[in-house]
Amino acid sequence: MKRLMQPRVIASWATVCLPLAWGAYATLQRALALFT
Amino acid sequence: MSNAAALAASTAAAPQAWSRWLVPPAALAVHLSIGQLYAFSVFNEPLTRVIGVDARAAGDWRLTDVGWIFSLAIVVLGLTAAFAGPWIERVGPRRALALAACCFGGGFAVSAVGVLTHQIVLLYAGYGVLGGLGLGLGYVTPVTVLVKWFPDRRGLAAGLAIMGFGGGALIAAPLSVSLMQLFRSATSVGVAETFLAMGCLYFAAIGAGAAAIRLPAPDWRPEGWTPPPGRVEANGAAPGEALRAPQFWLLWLVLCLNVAAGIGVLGQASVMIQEAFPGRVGAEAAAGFVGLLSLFNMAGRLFWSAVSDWIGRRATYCVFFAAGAALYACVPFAGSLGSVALFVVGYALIISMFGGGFAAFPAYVSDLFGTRAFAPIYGRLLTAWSTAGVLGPVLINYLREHQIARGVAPAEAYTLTMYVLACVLVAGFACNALIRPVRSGGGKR
Repeated sequence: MKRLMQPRVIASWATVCLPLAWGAYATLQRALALFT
Repeated sequence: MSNAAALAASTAAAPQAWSRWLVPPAALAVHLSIGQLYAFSVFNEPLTRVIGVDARAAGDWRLTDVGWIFSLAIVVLGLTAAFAGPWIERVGPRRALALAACCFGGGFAVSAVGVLTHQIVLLYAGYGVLGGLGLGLGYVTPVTVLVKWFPDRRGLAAGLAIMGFGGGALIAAPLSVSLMQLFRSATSVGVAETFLAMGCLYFAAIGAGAAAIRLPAPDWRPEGWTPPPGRVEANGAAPGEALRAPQFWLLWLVLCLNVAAGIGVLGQASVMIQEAFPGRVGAEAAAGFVGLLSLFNMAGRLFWSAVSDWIGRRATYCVFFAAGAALYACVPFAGSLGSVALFVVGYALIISMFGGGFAAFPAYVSDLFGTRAFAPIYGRLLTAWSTAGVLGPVLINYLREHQIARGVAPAEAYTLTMYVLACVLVAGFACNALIRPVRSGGGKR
């Protein structure tokens, strides 16, 4: 757990997760058309 | 240290204090980039009006010409994964990923020149061949490293990277559309400029992954972890031994049958939901359905790979095949009941297990054959993916046309197909049930 919480590790994860979260958000917005 | 020396040091073990949790983000950076492949279809229509810009003009490429770019990339990906394994093990992951960055980024640049000069052969050579090489190297290399760093959580670690391959399209599709709108002008559809921008972006992202990735020392183990009894570790099978073992061919069939059942549905999802609910689900809502399936494909890769660490690889695939077959058999009832929600939930679960089948597979391979020659063995098994990529869509399209030719209504044309796919998964269940641990030298324990 100590090695998981290093700033460098957190920064690396944030760098790859942010674009992924943006892509998932854009896709979910489009998917809402199915139920509205 | 010069670049060449830095790359040459790629086979050196990571420093003692190195956190293995730095490896999954590096692997994700690569897989999120090459996952762009599944969003390539957004370029298809604009590429058919490069000359006419607003509408297709004389001399513009046909959709069938453009479709070959994606097919070629998939074939070269499979061939590279199958044959580059020994080279990747020899030169190490950093050099392999540096080449992947050059090939994938370079493929976009060559394709941009092809669009500007209107020579489709440059798109075949660029994205298809050069890009396909980058895809193959970029797919196998990070997984090879992750299974070595996470012997205690192989499923989750490989699943994280392979989740990136599923998620790459979620980023690339909206990004490509936005860039094409940005670069569009009275004389250009904006594809060439978008290719150049994306080539630079992906070169940087894969290059960053190459710079960040490290291999563990050969005798490295997580603190406090001992291999479970019977587990094949670093002294696993050589590629030749693996090829002689029945487990190799059973695994090949397991991957092929699981992918064939899912990939056909994925390719036809938009048409299928519109035909199942005529007048109720339009093109825009169908695009939403496709997007939702992509999300479940990605989430399934993470969820099921983590589950495989908990209940074991063989049990996980038993769940995929048994639950998948039951869902395929039940989904036509959701259509006949007129329930869009049940239909969507059924397919979302099926596609989550399709993604999970990809994600838990590297761990299954390394559990059986160890990590000594993981890249060559895993790469050769990925030919099952290429085979299923051809078989699955052919099966689903042929059965649908056959049903419609017999006078079956389009809304019910997929019913027989779903039953056939359920049978495909039952065959996969039998293959998986026959898999037994490998003893050193191949064969059954």
